[in-house]
Amino acid sequence: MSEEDQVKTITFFQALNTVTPNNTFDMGLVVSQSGKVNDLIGLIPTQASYEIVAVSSKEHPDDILKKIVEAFQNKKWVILELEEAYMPGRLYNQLRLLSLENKLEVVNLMSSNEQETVIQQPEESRVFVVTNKEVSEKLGVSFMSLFGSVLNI
Amino acid sequence: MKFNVGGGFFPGEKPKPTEKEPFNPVLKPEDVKRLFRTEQDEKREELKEKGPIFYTTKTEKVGEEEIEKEYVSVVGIELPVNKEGVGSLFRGEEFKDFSLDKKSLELLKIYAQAIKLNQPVLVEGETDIGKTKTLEYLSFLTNTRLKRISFSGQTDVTEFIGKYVPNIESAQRLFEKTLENRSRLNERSLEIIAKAEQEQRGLTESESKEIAQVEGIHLENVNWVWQDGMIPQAMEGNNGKGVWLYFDELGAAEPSVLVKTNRIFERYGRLELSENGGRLVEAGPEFRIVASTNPPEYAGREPFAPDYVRRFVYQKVGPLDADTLKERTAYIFRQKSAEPSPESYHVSTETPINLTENPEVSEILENALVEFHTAALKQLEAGLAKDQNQQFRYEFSDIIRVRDYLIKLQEPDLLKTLKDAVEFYYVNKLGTDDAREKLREVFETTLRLHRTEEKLKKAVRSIKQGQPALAEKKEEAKAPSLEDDFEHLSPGHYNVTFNEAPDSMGRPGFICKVPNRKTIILDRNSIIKPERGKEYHVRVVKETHPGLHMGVYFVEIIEESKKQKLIEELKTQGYEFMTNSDAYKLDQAGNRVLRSDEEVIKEIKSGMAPNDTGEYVVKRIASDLYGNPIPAMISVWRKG
Repeated sequence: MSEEDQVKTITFFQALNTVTPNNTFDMGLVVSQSGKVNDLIGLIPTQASYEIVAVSSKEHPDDILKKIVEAFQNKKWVILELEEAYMPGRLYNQLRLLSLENKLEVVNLMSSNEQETVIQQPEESRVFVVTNKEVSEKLGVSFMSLFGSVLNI
Repeated sequence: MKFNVGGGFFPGEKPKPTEKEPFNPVLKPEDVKRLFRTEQDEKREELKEKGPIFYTTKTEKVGEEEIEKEYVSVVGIELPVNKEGVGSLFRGEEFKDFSLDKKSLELLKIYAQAIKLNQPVLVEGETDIGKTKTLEYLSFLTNTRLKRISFSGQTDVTEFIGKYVPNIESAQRLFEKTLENRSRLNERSLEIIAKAEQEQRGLTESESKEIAQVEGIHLENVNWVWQDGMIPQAMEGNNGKGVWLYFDELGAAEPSVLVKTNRIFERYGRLELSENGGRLVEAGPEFRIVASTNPPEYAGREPFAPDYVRRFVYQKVGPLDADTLKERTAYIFRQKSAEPSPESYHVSTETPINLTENPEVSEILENALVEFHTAALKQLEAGLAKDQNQQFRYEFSDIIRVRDYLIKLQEPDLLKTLKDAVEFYYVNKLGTDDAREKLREVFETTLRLHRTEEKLKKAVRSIKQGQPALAEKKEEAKAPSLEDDFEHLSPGHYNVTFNEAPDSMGRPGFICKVPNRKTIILDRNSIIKPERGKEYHVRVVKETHPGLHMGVYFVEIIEESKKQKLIEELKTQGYEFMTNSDAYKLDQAGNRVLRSDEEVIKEIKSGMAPNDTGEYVVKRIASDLYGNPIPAMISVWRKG
């Protein structure tokens, strides 16, 4: 990663960490050439522990959501690695909620007892998506509307 | 007896000037204002001090018990505050950057009206105007749970309706992933899915099982369970009371998905889950549907079909203007609040007028509304919304909505309530200021021509004085005069017969008697000799143009769509068409051109008015009412 991109990435993480419009944390988007999270890991603020969650058609949306919930329970940052233009409605619905209200409202996620569970994003957690240009373009306007700060490197 | 009056002096005593405030016998304008202040004025000022949003508590009788209920008044609309069961998930601090500016108040009012009236609303507007945040704020204010479906290109019907799944998690995952990958599905599975899609529903239990079997997923000993989607969850949420359901970014959904939401509108308040053995889900009393969307000009969005839009109260909300954007920015930077406009408040202190029990009032409103509705339709046909990507229609359901509005959101000023309702259901559908202004003008013209304001005031006054307007009408009937008839004739549809009679100027003319109604007189210029005693089918649209031409009535065959059929029918029955020579003249090239205003007025003044001026006037009025092109405006037929 070039020095310039490193500076941009650090600033991005600072913004993600501190900016709270309407007292909610933004969801961030990193669009990089590789679309992989590896390059960024070293630049995440040191005090934050994180969980990388792969988002692809191989995964069931509920499993993705479960991983996010578990990360929140452990007060971790969540890095969603979006490998392909896969954004099923159930997942999008929850990401939009997460983006606007910093919470998840899930039914039948942890069991089939039809109980609705509301999971608040903890103060220590932040969420950002890493993907490449092609995927972000394919997902279009609704996808882009999820994010506050966006980093292009 | 002495009465203590305000400042502490008594009748008969001369008020003494004080040193601080010298006595001044001359009343200043503000003193006069104060003297004539009504309870209503005081209430209005009190409300203004409270601002556009405030809470009130009322004691209400439930059975034998008296309970205190809390309400929140939102831009003049009173909504109950939920105190039981699940409440809003929003916290006050989430709205620290939410400014109560002109646009937020406009949106709040739209949502509050729709919630109050229990009418599904669809708000179309740019992304940054605050459609979602404002609804969340309303959910917070009323402490009502808001469930959201955020639509995207990949939204699936099972999310909002529900689905059958094996009750073992790993089996569920396997089954759903198999379904997701359609290109690998067996032909029989695709056939089953296609059938369900055609019927606009999800898969039934037996269909799900069959697909599992066909695809080689062995779930023979596994139970399948039904999982409700978001819609039934919202309908039955909060212990059966129902919660608000928000269709966020509805326009982002695929049309094939949208049609599947139709099911909740077909029997609004009830949803039959054909996939789930025909289970009927009944919405609780607090269930509401609110939808929002970006304009169809946005990338990836197609306009909705007008048939879909009609299921909602469609509201086209304009973008943020520069001033509001400035106000919003000033608020988030330094918490400087915008000054709400006085229209943000209304007072509803009086007992509403029951429209069913007061037909005199209702009829005045009905007539104005029917006339306006017809005119609005004509305006649409003439291209009023032609520049708008999202097409829509005005429908009879809009009249029903206005009726509900007049009942549930009635203000002491009934005409204002009617205007607000027309703004809500008709004007707000239009996308440009010009179009909105034009429709408002059409409405104002209708009100003017019907003298709605005057008639309403009179009728309401009668009711308030405990004197039924009907008695007043009977009073008038004792001393009938043709002039009065002109004054009070209501537009409507009639079967009439004509008789020869002099008009108000003593000239030969024709009159007809509308059953149980007033006499209509037809100007000699306007209609030529209808056959005496013969029944004609006419629609009286309005009276003559005031001050220009006395006694001209504009009669028209009732429904435009039926016109041709009626013409054919009448011809078959041996009728011939009677009409005025029209207000056109031939120009030098032999084309028919409309006479200019000046030309006709000059002729009238000089007493040289030709026979066609009657229709000329009528055409002008029709043009005012309907815009161009002028609708067919005929007339009376007689047996040949």
